[in-house]
Amino acid sequence: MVRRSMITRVQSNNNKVNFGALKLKPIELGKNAQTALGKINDFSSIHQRLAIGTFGLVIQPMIDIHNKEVDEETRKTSAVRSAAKAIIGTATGIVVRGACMKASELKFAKRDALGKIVKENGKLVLDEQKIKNTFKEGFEHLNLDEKTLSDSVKRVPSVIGTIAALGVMIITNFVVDAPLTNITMEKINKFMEEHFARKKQSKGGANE
Amino acid sequence: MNNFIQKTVAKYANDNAKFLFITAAAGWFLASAAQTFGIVVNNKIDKDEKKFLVPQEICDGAANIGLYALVTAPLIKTTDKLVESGKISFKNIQKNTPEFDKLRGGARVLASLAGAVLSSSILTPLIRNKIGSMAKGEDIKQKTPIYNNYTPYYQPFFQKSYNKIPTRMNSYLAFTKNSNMKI
Repeated sequence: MVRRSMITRVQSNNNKVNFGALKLKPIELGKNAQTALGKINDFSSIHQRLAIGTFGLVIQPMIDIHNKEVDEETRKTSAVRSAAKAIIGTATGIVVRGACMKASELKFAKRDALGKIVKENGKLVLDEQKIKNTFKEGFEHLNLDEKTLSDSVKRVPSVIGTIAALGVMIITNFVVDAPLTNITMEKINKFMEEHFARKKQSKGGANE
Repeated sequence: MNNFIQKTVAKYANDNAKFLFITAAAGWFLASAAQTFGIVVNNKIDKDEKKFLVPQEICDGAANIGLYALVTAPLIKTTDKLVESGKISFKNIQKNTPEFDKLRGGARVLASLAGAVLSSSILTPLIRNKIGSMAKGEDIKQKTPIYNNYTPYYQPFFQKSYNKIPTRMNSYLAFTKNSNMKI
């Protein structure tokens, strides 16, 4: 009877299960965490590709090599392929994205009266007004405050560069990524074969 | 068209987490298509290995995008809710200020990155290996009943020790009907 009344009470709450028991303690983030989050907010697709690639290179081959569902030879091929894919995919992804973003930044760079790019501490300076004017309608539509608008405007070259990079990668994925992955796979295989042969030889010599 | 580009660029420049989420999914789709094409045209990969690697690659792409969406979208939403409800707060920063919006954006991007790493580096390899090996297993099963080339040096299919394939009645019948069999 008690149980039925409890169920009725939970169901009466818009027919949704109540997770009231799962109460999280509030967390207050300090200065260091805030600085880190501020920087992370400006991360571009290059940072994202680097993070995915690094973790992929470390974890994926480990998972493949412990895959008991297939024979040892396939397991090795699959692990080597994962490593090669992570290396080449990350490298070409970063190069293509980097090049496209740089081109986009150059397009929106601040220039002096002679048309030369203005640099501060070796870095080019973005012409925020030029970006605002180019995407005036788009930003007006969002109704952003000045600070948020400035941050968003600074991210525009990164957005345009990433979209352009996706277009470029349709070609590079086929022309560069796929063949380079196969070449890298062969190189890793050769290295591993030589490494194990040497190890076997040294073991045999020690036994003699 | 121009209006669409204007709005798209401005919208994603303002919402970095969403932008990274969408472009990562699009990038994976393109990469997976290219890698599958690379395996198909690669003459140096053994035909039998291709039978595992091609489905593995397709599963990798599909699982990558599907899992990425399945893990990352709720992760971003939950982070947003935690920040909005005050479960995660920022010291000395008031709600609904530009600084607060920036930090909330950072938390959303971090959730997007965490979702990408969790789904693509851990969950996808585990699932695609399972599905890929199932596809290869099906392929072996289909081959099993056909048996024509019996020689004294060739181990019969119906024996359990051969590639760990279980005994099947039709394998045994194919073996007994073989004209080359000498007892």
